[in-house]
Amino acid sequence: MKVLSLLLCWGFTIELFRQHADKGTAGVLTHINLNVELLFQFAYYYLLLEKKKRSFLYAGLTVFGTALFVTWQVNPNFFRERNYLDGVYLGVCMTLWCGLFFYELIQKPLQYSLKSDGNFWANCGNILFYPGTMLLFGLGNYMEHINPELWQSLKSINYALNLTLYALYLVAFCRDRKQSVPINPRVYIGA
Amino acid sequence: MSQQASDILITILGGSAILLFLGFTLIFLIIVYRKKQQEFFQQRTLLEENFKKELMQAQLETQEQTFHSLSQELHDNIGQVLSLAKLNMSVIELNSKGPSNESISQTKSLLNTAINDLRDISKTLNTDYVKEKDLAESIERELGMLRRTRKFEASMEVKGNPFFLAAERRLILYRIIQESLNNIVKHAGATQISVMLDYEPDALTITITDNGHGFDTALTPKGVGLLNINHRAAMINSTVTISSIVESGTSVTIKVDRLGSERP
Repeated sequence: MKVLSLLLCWGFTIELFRQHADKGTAGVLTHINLNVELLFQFAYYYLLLEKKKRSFLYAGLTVFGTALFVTWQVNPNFFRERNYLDGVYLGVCMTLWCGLFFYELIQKPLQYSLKSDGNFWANCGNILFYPGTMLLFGLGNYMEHINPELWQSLKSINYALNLTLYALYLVAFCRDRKQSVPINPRVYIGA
Repeated sequence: MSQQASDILITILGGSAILLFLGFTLIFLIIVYRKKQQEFFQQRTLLEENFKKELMQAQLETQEQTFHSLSQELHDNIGQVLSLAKLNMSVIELNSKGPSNESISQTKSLLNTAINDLRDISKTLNTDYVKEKDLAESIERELGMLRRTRKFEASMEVKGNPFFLAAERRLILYRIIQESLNNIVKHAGATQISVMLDYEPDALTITITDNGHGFDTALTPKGVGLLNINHRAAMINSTVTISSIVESGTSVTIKVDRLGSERP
């Protein structure tokens, strides 16, 4: 959960910089943001998931890196332009990693409740935000070229999903409790 | 809006809606699955607990039956033999003269003590007798037996207005107290024992205190006696708290709710 709070701090900081930056710098900052976000999420799942599943994390990271490299080879100006293709790759990785978390969750013992599991709430946010914005990021750039007004109105989906993500992260931070296995409440022995 | 833009819009909106729907469905399914799992787990735990309770009840019933038969055997068999021996001694006393008379009187007195002790033990073990009597009365008899050994100063205090407890619950409480007193006699090295029955409006709290050498509750493993106490307490939904301070004594507190106790 600490990694997620760091991610949030990072997100807000870069957003502040992006608001005051010119168009070119804002594009670069977006790419930096998405790549750093992936690294934060990688660290989060690295600590969260079982050791056996870490190979999937590396696989996701490799897919992301390869896709980015291919995109950069096809379009050398990719990192200077304002687009969200790396957001799509991030979405694919995140969907895979969230799926792994939920798969692990249903196999866990039942002694603790989902409500008090902060990671459950955070992953609910992730599974809604990242796949939900994937198409928006993928086709957004093209849409912006052919109909900028419509693109502006479509951006509200992104804002709504962002809001959902932050709200669920907030719930995760508030509800996260360290849970222990209950002891037999009937007999107490003490000096 | 051009056809191309319209197609892209539909793709974005439709695709995002489908992906969001899948996300929601996944979360929903996980919540439902976990709930079902938890319900199943709770049901299994409940069944296990019921099974344990039934098993415990069966064990205790068998124990009570053994106590009962033992009590009958003591009363009807050994008691009769001792009474006959005492009668014979009386006949011998009548017919004999001289210095042997004193020995006969002493033997008669010893037989008398043995008969009385045997009767007390027989009553203690007799389930029907315990069920018939008031809890305070049964405890007082138990303490009386301890007093007669001249090794203990035993006292009892009753606070509040006594309320009725069902015979089965009374019997289990009595057996818990008996076990606690037995532990004091065997292990505590105490000279003073006090029992307090505190009748509150909703609960009865029984505190058995001794001035023995106490024990470290964290280090001392639970013996059969303590386990029996816990099992019996669980059967009547009561709580048992054992607190002990080394060289100062031990206190066993049993709290039983009035709820569930029948009125006469």
